[in-house]
Amino acid sequence: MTPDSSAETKINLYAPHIMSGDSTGRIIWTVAAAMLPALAYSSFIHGINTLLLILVCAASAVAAEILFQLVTGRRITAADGSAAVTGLVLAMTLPPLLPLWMAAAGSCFAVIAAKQLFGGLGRNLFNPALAGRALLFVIWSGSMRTAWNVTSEGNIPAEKLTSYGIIPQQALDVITSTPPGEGMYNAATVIPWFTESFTAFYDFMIGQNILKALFAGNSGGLTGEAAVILVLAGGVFLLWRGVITWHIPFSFLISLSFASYFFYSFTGSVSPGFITFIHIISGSVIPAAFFMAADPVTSPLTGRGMVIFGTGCGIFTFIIRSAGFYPEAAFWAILLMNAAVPLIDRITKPPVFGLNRSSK
Amino acid sequence: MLRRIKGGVHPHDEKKSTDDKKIAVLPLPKKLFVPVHQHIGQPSVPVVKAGDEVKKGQLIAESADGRGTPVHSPTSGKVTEIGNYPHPLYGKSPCVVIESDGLDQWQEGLLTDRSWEVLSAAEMIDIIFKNGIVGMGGAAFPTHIKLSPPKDKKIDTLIVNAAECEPYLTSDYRTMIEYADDVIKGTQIVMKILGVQKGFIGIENNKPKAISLMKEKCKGKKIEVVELETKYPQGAEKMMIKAILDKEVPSGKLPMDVGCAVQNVGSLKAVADAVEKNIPLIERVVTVTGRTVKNPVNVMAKVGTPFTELFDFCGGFRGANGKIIMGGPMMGMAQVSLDAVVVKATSGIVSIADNEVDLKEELACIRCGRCIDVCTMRLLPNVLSILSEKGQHQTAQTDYNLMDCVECGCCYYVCPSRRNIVHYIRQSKAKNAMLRNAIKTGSK
Repeated sequence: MTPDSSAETKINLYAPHIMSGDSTGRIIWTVAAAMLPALAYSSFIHGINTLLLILVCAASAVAAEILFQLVTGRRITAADGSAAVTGLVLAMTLPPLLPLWMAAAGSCFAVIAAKQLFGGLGRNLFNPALAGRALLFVIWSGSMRTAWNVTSEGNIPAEKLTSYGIIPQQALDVITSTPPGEGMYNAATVIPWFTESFTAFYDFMIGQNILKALFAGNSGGLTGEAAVILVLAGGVFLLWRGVITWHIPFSFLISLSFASYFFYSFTGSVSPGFITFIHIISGSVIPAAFFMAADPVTSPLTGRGMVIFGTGCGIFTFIIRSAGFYPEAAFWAILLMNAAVPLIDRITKPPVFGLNRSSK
Repeated sequence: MLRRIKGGVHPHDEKKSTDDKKIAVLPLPKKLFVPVHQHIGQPSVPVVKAGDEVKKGQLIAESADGRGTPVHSPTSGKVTEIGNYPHPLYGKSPCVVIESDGLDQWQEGLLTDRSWEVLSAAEMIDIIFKNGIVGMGGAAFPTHIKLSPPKDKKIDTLIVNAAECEPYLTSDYRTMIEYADDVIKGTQIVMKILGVQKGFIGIENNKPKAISLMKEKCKGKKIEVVELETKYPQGAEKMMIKAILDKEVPSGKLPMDVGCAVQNVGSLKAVADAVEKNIPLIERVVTVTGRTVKNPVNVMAKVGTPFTELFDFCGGFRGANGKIIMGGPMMGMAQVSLDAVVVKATSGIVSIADNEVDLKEELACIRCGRCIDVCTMRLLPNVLSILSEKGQHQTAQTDYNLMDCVECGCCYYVCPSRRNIVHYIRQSKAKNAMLRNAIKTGSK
């Protein structure tokens, strides 16, 4: 097409005329891709219900978005992938054996109430997936606390993996020997309790070889933490692709480490370093830091703001864990800090060129 | 030492296709459409009428208010009409149409041979004014105004802007290579006019030949060649000053407020020509390039040459064009007609192929923060775009420093949601200007 005054023109006449070629769709689908290994492994370990849970979460999120946009007469934007990713992130935060209809309800709430009612993509204040999880937790706390995969058929693949030497025997022991509802269904929730009798805690951890279980097998936790190492790999992939920056995950993990280390040092624990390590690799902290806190829409704009945000997430995670009662403290901490984002943005505006600094 | 700025982007520079090409001379066009409005400010007023014979270099339009620049005939021939024809920036604009007689005869009194060293600053400013010289980097600000700062502004440094940070363009680069002596002479002249002792030439490090040549030519003179990181928008005035002197021009102020004057390479060559030879600004180096141009060139083109003549000289197009841009692709203006003509500010004409034009839909801001990372003015471009969308133009100005935006376009370049943030910002600026005018006229 040659520019011609008579031609009906769709082109933008105003500069700039070239672009870097990156797209929001690519960013969102990259996040989905980064989650897949961890979710796939989780389905493998926990069985068919988990696979269905993941699919139902994603599908119902997309369906809810399309339905809402049809009813309100908006443009259908499901192709940008954001609803699907919300569903996948929600699946990460759910117990692997949760009834599917509950997961679907959570997904719909996440997309409609926490995202679309705020104005759709980019305008929501709270992380939609975490808002969905919060609702599920409040309504169906029973299932949300007990639908773990501990001694069910879901362990058969794990046994197979062990027999091939892919995951260690100790990991399988943890998976198969811990009964539901008591003991070690989630390292994060047992930590406060064990600080009173630290030696028992220490023996328990080392005795069961929890580290290997957390890294290579599963610790009986949420769908998203079947293998921390895979979640971490996904996070590093996002960093490498430039989808997220280091600010939030690092400040999150570092502030949680500091808070934990100093707390356990001052309260006279034998090995504060070890407990701190457990704090980091358990209780969904890694998925929370890389996939939920670092969500660009619900985190601050500038690097400084992100560091404040991440630090707040880390500190609240520790406070909720040690003083509070809810499991998965990291998710609640993120929701709390989401509410603070407009304030953080306001106080971390960058100094404008030639304005705040007088010329030297 | 390599100087850097914070922020900015690295577009593919695309300079390979023309940077080794010598400046060609365009065959004399049959008809020239010389716009009378070729600088920022009031359009000049034609002093010739249809039927007049003109010589090359003859005055054809004079300044309306003494601040604008006069326009001269680029060749000898006959004025056939004064009418509205496509201008690359101002839509249809009054042009003096000159039919060339093919002789290209200079007017008498030009082509002198005098030395700048014997002339006084005031005389030289007058010569620069009379020869119609403007900033040739793209802004077309009258040079004689830039060189006559108010008495209370003491200027101590001249910076020669040879960054040429826009992709595709090589006209400044070729000027430096082929007219190195003129550029240095122009620099010395401007230094004398401003009474400054220190000059810098800032060149991006993707032009090593120009850097070494300039370094050699500057030996023994009070001019220092500074190597700059190749990064857009290094050539923005404020970024030049920041990189070279580490000074920030205060918000709402001009380079002269930090004791600086910035001049483009092409303008300095024009200054040297005007002062020594009394040649008015009637032609300039233009890079004609782009992926769809058959044979990209650097060409010495007369002001008033239609773009079609330039593309014919390049052998025409191959493949489908998406856009034709005057200037670089980051800040240039897309053209609605190929009949638009070369003006004093035309550093290049770039064709953007059909498949390079991005027609994808604009999405909502996902707050990824990339625009903030690349904003050299350290603004919050995404917030400005959202405020503009909501119509909160005043908030943008009072709380988010709207007016500090230099419209370099880096924010749009990196935006994954393809939001034309610069355009939103321009709209806000325009809306606020309208409001200010309304208040002004209302209070009278």
